[in-house]
Amino acid sequence: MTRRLTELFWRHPIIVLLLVLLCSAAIITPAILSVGNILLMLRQYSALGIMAIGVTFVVLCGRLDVSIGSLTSLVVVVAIALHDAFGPAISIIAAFAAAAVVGLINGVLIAYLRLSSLVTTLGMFAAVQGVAHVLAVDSKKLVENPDQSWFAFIGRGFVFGIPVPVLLFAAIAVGSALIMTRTNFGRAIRAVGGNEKAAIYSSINAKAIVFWSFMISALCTCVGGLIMASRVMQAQSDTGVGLEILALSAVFLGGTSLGGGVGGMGRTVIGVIVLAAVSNTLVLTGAPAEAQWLVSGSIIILAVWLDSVSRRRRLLA
Amino acid sequence: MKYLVKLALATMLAGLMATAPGMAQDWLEGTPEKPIDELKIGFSFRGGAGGNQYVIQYLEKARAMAEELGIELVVVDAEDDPARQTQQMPELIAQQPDAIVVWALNAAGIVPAIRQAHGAGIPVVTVVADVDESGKEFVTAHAGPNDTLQGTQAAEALVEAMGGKGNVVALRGPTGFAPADQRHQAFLDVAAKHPDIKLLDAQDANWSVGKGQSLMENFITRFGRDIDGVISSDGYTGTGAYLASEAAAKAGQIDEGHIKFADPNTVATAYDLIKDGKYSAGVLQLPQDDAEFSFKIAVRVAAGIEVPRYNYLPTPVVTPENAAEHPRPGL
Amino acid sequence: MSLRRDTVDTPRVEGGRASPLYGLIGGVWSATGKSPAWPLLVILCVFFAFQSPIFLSLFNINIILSQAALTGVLAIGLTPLVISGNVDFSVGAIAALGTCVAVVINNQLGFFPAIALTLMVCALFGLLNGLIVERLGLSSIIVTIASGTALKGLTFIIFGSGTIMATGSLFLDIGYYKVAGISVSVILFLLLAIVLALMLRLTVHGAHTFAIGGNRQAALDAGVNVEMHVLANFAISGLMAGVCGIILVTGLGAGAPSLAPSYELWAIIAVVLGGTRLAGGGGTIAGTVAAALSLTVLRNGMNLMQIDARWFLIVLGSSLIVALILDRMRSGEPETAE
Repeated sequence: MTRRLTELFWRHPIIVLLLVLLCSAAIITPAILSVGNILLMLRQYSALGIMAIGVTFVVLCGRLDVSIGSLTSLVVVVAIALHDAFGPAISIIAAFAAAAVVGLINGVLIAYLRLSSLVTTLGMFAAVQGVAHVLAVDSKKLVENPDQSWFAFIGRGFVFGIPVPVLLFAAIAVGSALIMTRTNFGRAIRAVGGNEKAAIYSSINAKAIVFWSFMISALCTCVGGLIMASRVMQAQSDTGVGLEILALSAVFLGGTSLGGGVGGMGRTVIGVIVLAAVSNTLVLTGAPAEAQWLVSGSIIILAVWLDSVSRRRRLLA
Repeated sequence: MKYLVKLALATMLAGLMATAPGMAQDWLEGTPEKPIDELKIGFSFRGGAGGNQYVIQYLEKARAMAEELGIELVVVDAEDDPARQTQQMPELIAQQPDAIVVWALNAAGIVPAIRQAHGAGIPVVTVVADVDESGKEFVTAHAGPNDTLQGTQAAEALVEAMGGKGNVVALRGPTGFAPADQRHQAFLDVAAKHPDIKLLDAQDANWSVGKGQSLMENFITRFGRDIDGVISSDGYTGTGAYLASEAAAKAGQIDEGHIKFADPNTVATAYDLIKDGKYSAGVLQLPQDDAEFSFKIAVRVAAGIEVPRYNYLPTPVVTPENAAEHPRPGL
Repeated sequence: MSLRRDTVDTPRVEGGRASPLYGLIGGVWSATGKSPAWPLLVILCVFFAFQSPIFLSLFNINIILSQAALTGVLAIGLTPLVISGNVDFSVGAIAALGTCVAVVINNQLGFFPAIALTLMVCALFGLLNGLIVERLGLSSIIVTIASGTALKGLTFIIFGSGTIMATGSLFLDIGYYKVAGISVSVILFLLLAIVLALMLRLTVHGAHTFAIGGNRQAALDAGVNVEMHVLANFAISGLMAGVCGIILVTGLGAGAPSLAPSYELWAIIAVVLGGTRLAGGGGTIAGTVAAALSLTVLRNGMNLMQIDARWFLIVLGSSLIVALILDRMRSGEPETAE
């Protein structure tokens, strides 16, 4: 019996970790397992979750994208600035346009000019954040009468009692998982991430694959940004600061590794849930923000290590 | 006829131009050592270009005033890094201004920089954020809002709205930042005087709407109906907390309208809430007023006119009753 | 069995090893050809010299150098690590920790114990990063991002969120002291740069660092103790972060967990801008120094021109990308996936 449990543990250490986490949290604060709180927890992390899913496509290709935080700031600024003058529809389209431009630039530079993804997106991280700051100065910073606009529905609405952001997160997660498992595109991504040269020899258009992965990352970030904008209905141009670290942490926490072709959407979702659970537990127990950093940082290392051990065990087994 | 009109206009214009410097000089309360428009003022600006509308609008107003008065304003932006702000002081000193205005990021870390400026013979005016005790002797004057007073005003308004008893949650500003700490301490002092007021918990909301919202959601999960009042560190945070409580009320987690809100540094959204009576009180601290007030002090110092050591910007309390008399904040 | 050596920086001298000085000069010379940072620095300096009369004054140059010293120290500490194929995103957090440790120990035990302990603690933390990466076989990107976050939280928890002032004036006195108009921190920065450059070029450790970065497996097969060298580089990275923390304290006379915000990002940008490849195997200290200077010159110059600080981020991000593109066009090498 214990043997089977241990085996189960090593196959999916992250899931076990999550369960342990939730159980200990429940002991400390019973309120954490209430339906209301779970929905709340998920809602607070849905925007980040969607961003993490988007960036998982990039990581599966063996690349990194650290510009997603700044892009979030830009999306929020654009959406709020245009809302009152042009209506929610136009502001959403404009936000997607801005995100598409960023994704395009990233994609072209990294896939076609073959620049380093970390450094390029680092440069974009700075430039896009700067643009967000510059735009924020002279533009409208808040939405008057937020309740009268359907834009509020994105971040604040409920469908059958489930918050809209959670539904969006679930939909995008499921959709992405299907793309990865059922389509040629998904298979190609794994191939490129696993062994790019081999993928090219198998006549996979690696450049296009990488390009589109950055596009997807940017568009997902846009959705996340719109959710955040809808929640606060104000433009603070540092909204996205630090989000790229969180999103990437969720991805790695889940066990996706950089370009081993290993990992997937399910793992990312688990990573997001773990982060949400940790943060939620700590806040509910009254711990200061600093404790959250300490705990989440340590958990990430623990999780990544457990996952790498589990992978090695499976290789040897 | 046309000629007469032109003559009249020209005379009026000349008259205006003659009196304009006179108009500008009303607030000087003294004779400047040299003409105002020959002054040069250095501004060690805390930066934080991102997100913080107060900071951005403050700088805009300061620049506008400088232009209006014909003063050369040299700004160095510390981009939210205390080390950089201290390191940039020599840059300002090199410009040889008549006064240096400092909006300090870190009360202790700025002291070496202020000492340098003082040593170079340039008078220093600190604005918005005060400096550590060890540095106060090098500062000619301080100008800005009185955060302790604001915190007290907001806290007292909240306690009164709560009827002198109940449980409060506090949403603080960035920890380690003097204005935020002073406001929180002011609340603690007020609460100490009212034994029936209990503080449930305080968390850092970083003066952000989103953070205020999520923290309030968590508070509601933890304490539910036990929460009677929320004291926030600024209007942004308070607005976020209010949004959370509204959503929770709709979901039935708490009773609508039960929780009282009050916070210093009202912003546009909080102002609207006060007008609608959903908020108990706010304290008006407009960046434009702050900048104008403090800048005038700086100009006087630069012109060699004596000023009081401490100059506090009047910050009126905004309540649902008097909200219409006050302008809506532009941030 | 000879070790494959990556960059050919030491000119071959008949009949013996090149003298250290010659090797250093040769290294700097070829570095100018390798990295985009030097031409960038020259262009920026010329541009700003025309924009403002103060730019080239000794006073301003010292300001530039002192500001560059902060991220510069971090960047040169990162360079050997990056050459060996790793990265360290936690150096900002280590530097912040360093400021707190330095001040607290100084107030309890005095100045010199403070310096010693700070350097030790920071180097140890770097070593810890290294152990996690090497022994557990994990990616340094993930590990150091996480450890940096964790350390930031730990520092806040241990030292509180306020600023701690240093008693006594020794730190600040050192901060003020100038030799021929140049601050002590700048001299320290340049000295350390020279030491590290010599280390990379002349020592066995340096040679192995390049080899490990170039082809880790080949180095392993060649019998190189890869783990030891990588650990040493991590320790160096931590140590330099400690130096950065100490320099911060000499400037501020105080320490706080909130200092050095995002410094690791600027340091990494400087490393890459300086021509060191993130994939490992190539790079120069000189390039890193030039890049750190370029970043500071850019900021300083824009300040002198009174351009709003907001634009700095845009200019920085774009120049980084432009530099990458230029570098790619020059070398024509396809970058490996990373």
